[in-house]
Amino acid sequence: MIESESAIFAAIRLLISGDQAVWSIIGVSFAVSLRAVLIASPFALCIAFLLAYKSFIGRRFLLTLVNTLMSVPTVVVGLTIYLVLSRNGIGADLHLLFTQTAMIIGQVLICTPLIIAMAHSTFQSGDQKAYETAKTLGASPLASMLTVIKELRFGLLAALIAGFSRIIAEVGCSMMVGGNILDRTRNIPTAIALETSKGEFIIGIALGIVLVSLTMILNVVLNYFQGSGEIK
Amino acid sequence: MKPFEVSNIQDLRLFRGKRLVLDIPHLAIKLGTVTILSGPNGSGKTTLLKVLAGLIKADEGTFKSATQEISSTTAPKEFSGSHLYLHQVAYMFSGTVVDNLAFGLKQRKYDSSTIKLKIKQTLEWASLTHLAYREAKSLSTGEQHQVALARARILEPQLLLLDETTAHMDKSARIRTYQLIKDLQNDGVTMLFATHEEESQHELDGATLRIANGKLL
Repeated sequence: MIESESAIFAAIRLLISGDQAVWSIIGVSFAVSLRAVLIASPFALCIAFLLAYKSFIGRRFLLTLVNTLMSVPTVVVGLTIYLVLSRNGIGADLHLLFTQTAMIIGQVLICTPLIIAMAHSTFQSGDQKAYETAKTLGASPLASMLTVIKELRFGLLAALIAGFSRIIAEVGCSMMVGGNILDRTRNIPTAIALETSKGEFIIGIALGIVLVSLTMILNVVLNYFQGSGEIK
Repeated sequence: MKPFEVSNIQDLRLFRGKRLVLDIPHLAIKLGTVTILSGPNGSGKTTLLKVLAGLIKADEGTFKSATQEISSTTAPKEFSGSHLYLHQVAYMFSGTVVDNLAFGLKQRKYDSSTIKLKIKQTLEWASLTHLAYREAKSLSTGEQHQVALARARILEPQLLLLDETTAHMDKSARIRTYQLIKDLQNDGVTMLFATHEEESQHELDGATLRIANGKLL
């Protein structure tokens, strides 16, 4: 117990001291996952909107596909991208394997189904009248969709945060397509896995503290905004 | 279509699955008139109004409007913003009453000084100036309907489609809302007012159309 406590204090000291290696890992994590969620969000929100507001052939199949993709293990996503980008894959000429771009592609694929599913649920539970009112007041289909997104922003923000939470903490895909290269593709989860395997628990705990703190901050932010949108 | 008509539909049919929910061989709405669409719940009033507003696509039929001779089964795009549909329970966008009134004007790309002027005039017309900066969602049902009527009037619509607008209101709010509708009528706004209440037919001066099982009687 005393050893664990001293390891936690050592980890906090490591974070406060501004250790270059640790903060580089944190930087990679944020650079990759924030870009991934920013890329995935517009597409995911549009698909979720179409699923909720439009009827078209294949809609049910698309919904089933989204729900299925949500539960695909991240290592399977990583494996698929690895096969595409590796020397014998169809994307070999892109030379993206073991780069942040490959990690972003993987994380986009991981978080998109989750954001679609959660946003779809938010759109479905929202008031259909918002869309019709916007449309009847002369808004174009795109402007009507953006109006509905604005009206449901608190629920949709929760979907985006859930998507971000899923990819900031995923290890399987990042490890396979990123390669865990220090200062380039080593992010928090892959670093924790590596340091723990080496017996370097202090760095692992320090990075774990960052992940847990991040989750807490995101939830505080979400609660704050959702509180602003409460029904009065 | 005759020049004194704002909407003219022919052979309109709408199915839900295999069930025929609207079957209207012909309906012409004359400019500047108030038409009361009367029928029991589930008779197809709301569906017809939404088809006329372009919110629901018909399966068969043709539309004619003042400027577009014939469209296919979808109401012409120009209906959006000119054939305004008001829900039974008005929807208020988040923001103030002013934000709500500005919504349609912004879609039409009016400049900010014109928007301010039109909002001021409309708030005065509806006697809602005291509510201008109140959160629209926090207003009472009656006040929300009055804001919705003002939000529609500000766009100078060709046709106003009112869906049981006075339902869910107490007596004073109902009187106030009828007065606004009469003011709109005096301004020459063409209206189709769907209702299942006898009271509306006494309050409003206009021809009555009866609908049952999706058919005009």
